[in-house]
Amino acid sequence: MSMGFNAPSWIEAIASLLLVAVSAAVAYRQRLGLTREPLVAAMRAGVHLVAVGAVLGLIFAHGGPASGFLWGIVMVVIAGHVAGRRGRGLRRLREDAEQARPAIEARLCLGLSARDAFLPHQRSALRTALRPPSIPPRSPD
Amino acid sequence: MDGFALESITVTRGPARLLDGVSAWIESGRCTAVVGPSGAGKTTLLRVLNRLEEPTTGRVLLDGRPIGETDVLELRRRVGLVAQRPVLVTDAVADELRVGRDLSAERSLALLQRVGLPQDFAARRTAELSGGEAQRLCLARALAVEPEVLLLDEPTSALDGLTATLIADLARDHVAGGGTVVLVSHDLAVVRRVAHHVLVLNHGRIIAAGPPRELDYLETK
Repeated sequence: MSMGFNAPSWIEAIASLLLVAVSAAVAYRQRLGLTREPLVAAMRAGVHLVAVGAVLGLIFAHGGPASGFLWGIVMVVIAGHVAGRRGRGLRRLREDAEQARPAIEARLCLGLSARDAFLPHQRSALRTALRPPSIPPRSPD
Repeated sequence: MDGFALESITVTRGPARLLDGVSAWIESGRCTAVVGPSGAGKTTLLRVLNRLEEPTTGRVLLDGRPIGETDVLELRRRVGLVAQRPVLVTDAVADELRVGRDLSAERSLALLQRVGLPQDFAARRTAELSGGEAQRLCLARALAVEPEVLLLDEPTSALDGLTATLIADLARDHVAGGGTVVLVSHDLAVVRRVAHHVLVLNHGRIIAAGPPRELDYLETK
């Protein structure tokens, strides 16, 4: 049985790296203190993908339908776990915005623009959005 | 005549009507008090005046011009609002007075003095302040912008009697200097002392309006 393996093209790989660079650039420009984290997370994801790809290659080359089925279950459990953590992150983002409302309104009342009034909380929101799931939250500025 | 003209203002949130067809005149260079029971729509009325809240229907004019057509940043610098619950947005008192603008040390000290806070207060951390001190700092912060109109939402609710008197005097001074004050208060002694005109709100509607001495609402409380 031959192993069908569709490696990503160079353009796809470069496009992925560009997206990582954009998130690192946003983190740097907004002074989020998270510039390293997207790069580390991208490298970690790369290693994970290569490892998972190798395991999948072995399963499809040498395993039967049962091992493929078992692997599928493992993947669903892991994906559910990761999605759950992402959901908690989104909930936290919404809670942060609701808690920040009085402070944002206080700045608006002093004649600040909506952008300036939201800026301190924008950093916190971006941190939450850009933070890889395994990196613990930090308190906002 | 200069001032705010409210034309059939309705504000709804979901099924609730926070303001229900409010029409009123708030004259420039005077102190207008807004009184009424909790949930009557007093705070919503103040928020409409500096566009923190947009009316669902109706419009507000300031000096004859619809505020919805004016630059909102300019409007909020002209019309300062001090909220009922003090919210401080920096860590240091001196920084709090400089939010969004440069302010000399002398001006900062003068503002603190104006709201009855000692000069050494400028070196304090905002986290150390009591509710009353934070409220006075919020008032000083609003005055730093030099607004023509001061919207005060229960400014004396967290203060002792002596400081409440000081805030009432400050509102009177603002009017004496040509400014306008719109005061929401449950403290009817303060209302009688500083207000030229009173609007009585209930269930989002104005049920009475007039000088403080003519209003039964004040007499029976």
